[in-house]
Amino acid sequence: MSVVDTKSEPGQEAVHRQWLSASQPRIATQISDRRQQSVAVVLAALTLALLLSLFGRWGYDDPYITYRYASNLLNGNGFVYNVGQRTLSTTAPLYAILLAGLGWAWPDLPSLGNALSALSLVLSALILYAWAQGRGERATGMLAGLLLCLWPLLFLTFGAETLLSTTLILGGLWAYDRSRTGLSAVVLALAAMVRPDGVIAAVALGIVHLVRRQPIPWRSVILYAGLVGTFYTGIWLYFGSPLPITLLAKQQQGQMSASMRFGAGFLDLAGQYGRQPLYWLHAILALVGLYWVLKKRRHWIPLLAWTAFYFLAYTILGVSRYFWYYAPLVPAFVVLVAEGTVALLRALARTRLSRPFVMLLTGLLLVALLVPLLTDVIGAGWHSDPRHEVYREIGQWLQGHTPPGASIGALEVGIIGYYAQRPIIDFAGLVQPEVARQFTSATTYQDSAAWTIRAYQPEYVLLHRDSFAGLAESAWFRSAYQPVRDFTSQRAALSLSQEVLWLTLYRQSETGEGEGSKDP
Amino acid sequence: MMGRRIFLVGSGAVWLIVLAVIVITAVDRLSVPPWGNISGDDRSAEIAGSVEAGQQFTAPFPGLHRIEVILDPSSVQNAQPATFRLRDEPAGPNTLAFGEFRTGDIQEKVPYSLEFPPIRDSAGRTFFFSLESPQSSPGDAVTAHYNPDSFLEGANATLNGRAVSGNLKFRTFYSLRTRDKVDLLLVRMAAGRPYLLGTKGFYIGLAVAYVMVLGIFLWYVAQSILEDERA
Repeated sequence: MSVVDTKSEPGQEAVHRQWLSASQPRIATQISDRRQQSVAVVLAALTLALLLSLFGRWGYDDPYITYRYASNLLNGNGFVYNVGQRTLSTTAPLYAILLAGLGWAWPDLPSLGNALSALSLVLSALILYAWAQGRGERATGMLAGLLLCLWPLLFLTFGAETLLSTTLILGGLWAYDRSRTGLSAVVLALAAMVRPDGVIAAVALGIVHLVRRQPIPWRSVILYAGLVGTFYTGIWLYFGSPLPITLLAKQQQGQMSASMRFGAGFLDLAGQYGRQPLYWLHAILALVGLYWVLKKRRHWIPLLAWTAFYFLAYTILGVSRYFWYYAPLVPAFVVLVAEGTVALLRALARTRLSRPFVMLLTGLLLVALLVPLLTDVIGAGWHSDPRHEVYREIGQWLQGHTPPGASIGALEVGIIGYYAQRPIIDFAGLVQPEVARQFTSATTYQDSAAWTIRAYQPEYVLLHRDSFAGLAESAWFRSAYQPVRDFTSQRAALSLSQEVLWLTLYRQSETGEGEGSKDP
Repeated sequence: MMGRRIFLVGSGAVWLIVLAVIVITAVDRLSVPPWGNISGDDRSAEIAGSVEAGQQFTAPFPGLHRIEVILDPSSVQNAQPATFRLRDEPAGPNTLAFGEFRTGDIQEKVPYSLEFPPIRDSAGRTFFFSLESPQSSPGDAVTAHYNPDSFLEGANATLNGRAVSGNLKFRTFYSLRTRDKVDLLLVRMAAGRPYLLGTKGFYIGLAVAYVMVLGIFLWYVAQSILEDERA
């Protein structure tokens, strides 16, 4: 052991050299950390740009119901779907208000919705990254964030409130993990205002908190209850109910034999993924990850608890399956995959295998995880929902060729209703709860349409040629309505869907006699 | 140091090759749907004597290689030869594809299909196909399904070379090469966007940048997994 006289000049120099050599790895690590963070931020920005390029024009029917609320609010018609009718047909009241607010600066609401979704997805990935890094699990965070950004199911929800709600929930859970319970309460309250099922996250977190026997943060609890309570009391006073009609409608739809319920739909979705062998790898690694999280990485428990409670709640509610209901399950799944991957590779690194070989295996495994995702991203960017173009065409035609007060009866009223700007009567019961109450296990959408047309006598009726053929050919309908024109998705030359839609628009006959009354 | 550089460059090259394989495989799985007029159950045009029933259309995609047309053989008693001709325009001399069949061989609800080598530059080009059967007599001939109310952008039916409103019931099929599909994807991304965003080059640049940064990010992920373990 050498002794250095620190008071002499050479001694001070030696101390300086020792300090430098000791701090070099630390500085090198800091530089490396900064580089990694810079690369992560650049990748996030590029991902955002790529998502907007590929999915900026993506659209499906349901979000357009919320867009119509936002549009009416923006145009001074009130927070309503049909002007003058205060019914809550959107599952996303705060999202509608947000869109209306941003709509002043960005009036194209569908593209604004897609931009918000893309931004939310990238933010969700960054939250997972930061959450894991805060727990000393940088690799898990990087991988989980990457997988989340490339998960194809999430792109299909673009435009809807799903990703914004998921981001807020992840933000709230992360804040809780950092012991910022007040911030967590505010962010989770916002999530519950965006979508009422956001309440599940707070309930799950509360249960986890109680199980851990930690003192109850009453101020945060009161803050959360106050915010959510005030918001939904306002909704209740305005609409006459704090819950959206869509909940009743989708529960009733779930009873129909033509519908598949959430639980069965989940198995069906898992089966679809299972048909692509490379997704089995994700499933196996997720199981490894689950074991690892339960054993060592318990900071993810709130996330898993929320996911489990969400799954349970939707299964118990018995709603019909819609693909966007499964999107909130993805963050927990990718975290489990990332944990499983990291645990497995680290176990491999502890063996006697040479480092280059382990590095090679690591690279191969990461690529194998990405292959099905990248393939599906390209596929998702290629295909478009055939309904989008034809429904828009119908909506614009109705807007240009019918009187402003003409009522329109249709199934799937989102896109059509948004562009038509006419009073809408929905055969699926999303706008008129009385329609939803007609659904039983024996009901078909054709029955529901027939009942709705008789009851409400819309001035225009839009029917899908194949699924409503019986109704269109029935004597009473033919006497009451006459065809105006056909619409088909084949008209859109660049519609890349294999499915061909064909719809016929009918107008109430001047001589025809309706059988029902206007007031059911 | 040299070994490390070779390892890095090698890894980068392998990554790019893997990415290229992924993209090509993914793109090759994609296809475009058939395009045409699917309505036309109400009216029919009889193909007999000097009648030439035809259809003009603008192909939406490259790689046109098959045309299907729905014919009704229910009136045929004496089978006669008939011809199918694909041209650039009704009176054009240039026959792009030709098919001959006997009217008695047509089956009900089974489309008559003419296949030919893919026309690579078909996107945006106008084509014309016609059906004739000079030896068939009125009342003893196949009929082509026709819908006078059908509207397709850049398309209409013709009778003896003259345009008439509506369309025959027909479908066109396209076979796209990988580069055609990539180009179509880029065209769709750039369509209707302003300035630089409206150029295909922007999206190519974006994809290249994404691939590079993704590769570096994956490298860091791998490094983090193994180095955090050491720490």
